[in-house]
Amino acid sequence: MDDPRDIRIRLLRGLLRSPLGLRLVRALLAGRPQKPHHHVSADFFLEMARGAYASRACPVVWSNIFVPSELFWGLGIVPFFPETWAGLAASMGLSALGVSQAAAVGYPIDLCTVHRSAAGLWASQLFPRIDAGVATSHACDLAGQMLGNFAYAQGKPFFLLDVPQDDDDASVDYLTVQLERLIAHWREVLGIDFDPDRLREAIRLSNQARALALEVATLREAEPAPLRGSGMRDQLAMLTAMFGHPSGVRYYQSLRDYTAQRIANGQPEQTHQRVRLYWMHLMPYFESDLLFILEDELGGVIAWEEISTLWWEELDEREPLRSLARKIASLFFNGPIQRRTEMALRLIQRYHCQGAIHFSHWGCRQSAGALYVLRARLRREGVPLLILDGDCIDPSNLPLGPLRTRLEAFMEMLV
Amino acid sequence: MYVAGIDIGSTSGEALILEGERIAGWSIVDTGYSSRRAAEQALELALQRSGVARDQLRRIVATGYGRVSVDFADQQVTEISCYARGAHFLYPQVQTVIDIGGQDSKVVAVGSGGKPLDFAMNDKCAAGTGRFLEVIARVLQLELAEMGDWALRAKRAAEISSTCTVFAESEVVTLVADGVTREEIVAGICRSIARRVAAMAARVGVEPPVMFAGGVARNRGVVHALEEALGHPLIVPEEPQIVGALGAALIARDGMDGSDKLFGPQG
Repeated sequence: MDDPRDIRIRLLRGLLRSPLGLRLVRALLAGRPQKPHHHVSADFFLEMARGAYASRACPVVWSNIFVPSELFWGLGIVPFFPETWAGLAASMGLSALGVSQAAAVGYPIDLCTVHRSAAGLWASQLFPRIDAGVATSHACDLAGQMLGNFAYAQGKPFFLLDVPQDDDDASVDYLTVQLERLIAHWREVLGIDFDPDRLREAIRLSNQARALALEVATLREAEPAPLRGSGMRDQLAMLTAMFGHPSGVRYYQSLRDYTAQRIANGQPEQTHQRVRLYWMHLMPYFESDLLFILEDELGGVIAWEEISTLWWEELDEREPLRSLARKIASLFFNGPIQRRTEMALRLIQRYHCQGAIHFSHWGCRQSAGALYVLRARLRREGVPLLILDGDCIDPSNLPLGPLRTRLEAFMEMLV
Repeated sequence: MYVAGIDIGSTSGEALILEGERIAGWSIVDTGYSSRRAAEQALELALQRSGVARDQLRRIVATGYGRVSVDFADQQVTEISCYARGAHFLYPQVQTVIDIGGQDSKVVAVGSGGKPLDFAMNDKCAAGTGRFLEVIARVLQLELAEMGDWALRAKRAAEISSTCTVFAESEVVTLVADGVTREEIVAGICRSIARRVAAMAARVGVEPPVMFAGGVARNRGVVHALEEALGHPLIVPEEPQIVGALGAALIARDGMDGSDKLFGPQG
């Protein structure tokens, strides 16, 4: 699997596994001019990388992104999210490596490139050690399969949280019992101590970050839109990794202050604003002209992104596991499609969007499978929907010519 | 006062000269390797046929996939808007336009003033486009222009199961080897295109009257198969290839007052 000719891989492998290397990357990033909240997120992910790659202090559990992060931080476990790292690799221009290596280990090309890329990066030995695997069964069933594969291939235990489609009391009870079993399982296989106070502290931190994130959401109602939607493509990573960690509070505090300052100074990030849009599903993680065309050439404003939506109620530190169970089950991708479409309509109204764009990421059935219902529902409310077929990981699967025509035509329709 | 619309597609380029509501002349050329060159050629030919000098043109709008290469145009507008606008001009009652061109196909729901209400286009695949017909014509050693008549002579249509042009080509070779007649194969190919386009049209919602435009609309076999697949008769304009250029010219005409409005009074 190893490609000795690729110096970048070797360098990256070395950097990730060396505490000194990670400190060097951190210093380099700190010196770069970037938005204050990006400094916080870069620090956070580097800290996670250090815990996963270069330290043996805490067990490392590989997980899909919808296992609540509060659980990991509250139990002293370092989570490793292959899906998030596949996105990060794409942003660093490494997706071609991941995708090609996945083909080499036998993953068919019609699978989602997030998971294929993750498999390829793993095959290239760019992932850290694994002590156990965990996944939820909802939202994306491929994630569960892949995480199970990763754990099995490395001889490590794997736990699947079976998520019911509803978030009623019976479903939450069912899921709470599984979370209790999961903790018992981890105590046994990872040898961790369960400290309820530590978990409660993670819940408190999560609620603090949540309150700040909700403030950001309110600030983003402003017109002109203070932030570029394309700059928010990393929000799913933040929403699924940072909550329960002190960095989550720092990150959303920083983002809130930055957004408020943009509004107060009358300096929106995007100056050319013509039509407000609601963006559904993912965005390309790599540098692409697609969003430049939409925002800068055509004046399309991504006023809100589906993946930035904080979907859960405030957690109750008196019942941490029950709260986390409800958080898992209430995800808008879970259960009947109406949960997602009604949320879309609420957000479209809240952010005064004139249309919606659904980015159908290659191989992702869980999102694109609902398009018929979604389109019909939005149409009934007079909201035009543009469906863009593309890839958020693999730049070679994002044909700009046809996509430009679709974007331009959509904007011509809306203006 | 003259304006021009230029539509540069993957296979052919069209130019149309408009004077008020009157079409003064038009042309169709092969696109070849250069979209810009095709645009120049098409425009010169249309001007020549109209008896209009280049400096009499007040405004030019370019459309089609090659529109960005037409750097001498005053404005570039997508073919979605131009087909809707052109179809509405020719038949104001039209509610749906289907265009099958050389390498893409599209369906546009048309509202008042020729404004598109919704649209769908084919994705990353030549099935359901003129290219599909070209490939099969070569395999069957037929002229593209005569394929429609071959299809209409068939007593039944062969079943073509592949949706991929390359695999369909292999399938046709197998059918030929099995002794299936060329008429039946061509009819099967027309039906295959029609089914694919009809499925795409269903995404937008087909409201009659339906216009069929683009080069493939000249193929009577596809027209017949598409009418069957949609369950609606199709309006095929006398010159189905110039609908996009006409729409571009209309937008050029309306833009002479400096407005950037693309559609008619109700649009």
